[in-house]
Amino acid sequence: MTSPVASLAHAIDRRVGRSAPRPSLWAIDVWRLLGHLAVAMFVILAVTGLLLAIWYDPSTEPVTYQGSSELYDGHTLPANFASVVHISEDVPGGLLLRRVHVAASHLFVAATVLHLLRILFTGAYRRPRLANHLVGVGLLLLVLGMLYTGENLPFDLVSGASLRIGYAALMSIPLVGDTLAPLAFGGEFPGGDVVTRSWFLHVFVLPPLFVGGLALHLWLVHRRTPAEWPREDVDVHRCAVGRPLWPDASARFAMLGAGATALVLASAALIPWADLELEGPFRPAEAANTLHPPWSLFFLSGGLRIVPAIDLVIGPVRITNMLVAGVIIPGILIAALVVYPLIERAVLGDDIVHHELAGPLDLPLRAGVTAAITAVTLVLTGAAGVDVIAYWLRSPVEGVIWAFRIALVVVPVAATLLAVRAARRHAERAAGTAGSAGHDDAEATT
Amino acid sequence: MSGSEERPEPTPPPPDAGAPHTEPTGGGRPTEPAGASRPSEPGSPIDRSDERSPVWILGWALIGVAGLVGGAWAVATGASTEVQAAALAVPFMATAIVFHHLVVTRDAGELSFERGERLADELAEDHVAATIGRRPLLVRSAVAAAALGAVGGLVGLRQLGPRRGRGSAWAPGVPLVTNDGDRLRPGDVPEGGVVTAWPQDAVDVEAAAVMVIRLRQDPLDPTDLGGVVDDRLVAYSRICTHAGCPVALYRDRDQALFCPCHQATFDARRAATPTFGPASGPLPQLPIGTDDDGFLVALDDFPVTPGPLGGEVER
Repeated sequence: MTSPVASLAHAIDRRVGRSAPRPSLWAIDVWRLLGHLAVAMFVILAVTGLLLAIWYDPSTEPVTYQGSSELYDGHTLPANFASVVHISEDVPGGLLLRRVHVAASHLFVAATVLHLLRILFTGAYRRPRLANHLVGVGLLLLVLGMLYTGENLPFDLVSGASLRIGYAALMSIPLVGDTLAPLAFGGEFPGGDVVTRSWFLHVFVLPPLFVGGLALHLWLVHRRTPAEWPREDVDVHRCAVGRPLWPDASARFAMLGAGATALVLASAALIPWADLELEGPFRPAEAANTLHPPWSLFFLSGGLRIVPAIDLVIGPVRITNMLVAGVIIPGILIAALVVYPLIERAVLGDDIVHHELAGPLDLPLRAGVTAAITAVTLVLTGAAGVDVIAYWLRSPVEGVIWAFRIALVVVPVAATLLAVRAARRHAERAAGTAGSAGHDDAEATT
Repeated sequence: MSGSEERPEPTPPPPDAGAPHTEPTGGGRPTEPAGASRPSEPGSPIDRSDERSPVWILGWALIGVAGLVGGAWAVATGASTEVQAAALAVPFMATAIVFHHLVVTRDAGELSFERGERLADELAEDHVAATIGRRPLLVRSAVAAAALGAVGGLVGLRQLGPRRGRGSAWAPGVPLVTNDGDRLRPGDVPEGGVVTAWPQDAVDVEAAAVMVIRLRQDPLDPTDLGGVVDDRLVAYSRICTHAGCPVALYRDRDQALFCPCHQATFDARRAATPTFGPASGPLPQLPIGTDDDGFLVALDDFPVTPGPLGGEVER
């Protein structure tokens, strides 16, 4: 009588859906769906990536490209660059695959970062969700790793610059840098193995780790139940609220995934993501006039541009701009994501369970720290564009860099002070309304 | 939770619109608290029949299939990428709209249950801070072990790993050649011009790349004047001392070398000393001269290893 599909739906429903003794509840609102958007993008990336892997060749050996690209036909190119040209120009739908892969990667990182900001601003990392927050930071590192290794694969001039900077960043690490860099690259730069290793990491190591981490992340969301904004109709501290995974939440995730895929495809029709016609292949000691990483790595590039030259020698250790801007500052930013929740817990002596999401201004400490982290990251991100901004303004790049140097100090301090002040006012106002309400009550009773 | 009566649309809506839908129906208010108020109606909500849905779904399914076929046709016939993308966006849009319809018409509202005893064990699992608080000895030994391991790994790496090479392929008498391997004469570099050059046997070995520059004015201190040809022809490493990018831009106005990666700027008249930006070391100068046939040759290796200044001090 019942079809297999219906009985499967029944089975799912009894386990995690509306009829389950303990339904799996998922919060559905714009901010919560950012995480699911990232998952949808990862699915697109996995599908397009698997297809691209059919034709991609990680070798850097020179080959003669022959195909329908007029620009490169008959030229000797590195095999990986040639394979990317082949995908773009000769494989049916290949350029579309590449555009969709790149467009989805942009949305993937954007959704991940906004999701993280939501967690930070609303205090969603508090007990009992701290462990899941740490899993999330690990996932963010994997995302950045996939981004960097993916950027290296076309082996064009931009890849060349990103590889060089990666090599220099490893080399800048005191005591072990001179060993670490050739070890990672398989020899002196450019190193025979580095693109093969990037490819191996990008395809075989990081995505499976990401899938594992994501499974843990989602399982923990299910186990801990969603945190919820304070609301009138439910005591969210006592009760878990949300849409049951089956069928309501699943239908929404499917809608979101399909809609976002349509959006990515439409963007691929309008914007030539990833077309490398004019980005030449990697050549030793050659660079383009302007070189920029993907926007999500701008915070690294920006720091390298605006942190002044440093040459501090202490015994066998040399501290350079590369160490400070390429290793220490990003390290501090990432470490802050891990350490700040612990600090907050220690400072407030707050060891109780929080199922209520906080407002961004509910706690001056949190408002200040999140404002500082966000402001530093934003200034560094903007600083990656000093050359472009100087070109727009038709003014010397030195002036723009100085403006960003000043901004790197002033903006985070100002943002922190403003956020703390706003949070204090917010608290006063809350206390004021509570106080006046209490007063009214008192009057009413007397 | 009886679905169909609540739906206001009397006729099947046309399949072209996102369509005016009512607010989520059913349990729009969460039920509070647990157990008893869970919808007890038999069968899952997905089973509830909705006679109008098939018309909707059929319409969009047709549009979706049309888009899919069109996209496949576009890919197969080699239509432009824009057409392929636009056609393939259609089935996904149609899927999203169908799901939107299902979400809006079949939504049964939020659920809630009391976390209470049922989840006490699940929610008490956050051990991170608790463990750190309660087991100082464990934490201290873990920190000590990690520190010991780090020191051991560091020493091991320094002893066993590969080392970055010192010096470069340049040596006294090594000819300078162009990208194509042709030997260079001083006259090949025009005034205010820059030519990339390599050691004859190490073309494309990045660390050895140099730029030969004919300055418009005489070079100044601390340039190694013994390694300059024709009073104004100087050669510097092309690899930035900051991040190892090629210093690919030369600004004739102030005879500055400029790195496109991070805007490090070097004064080509003054031994490529950094004048602005993130680089702290000068681009090493390659002392050059001419051989008996008038070709450019290196007089020696770079005074220091070229490339980015690392975290280790060169001895």
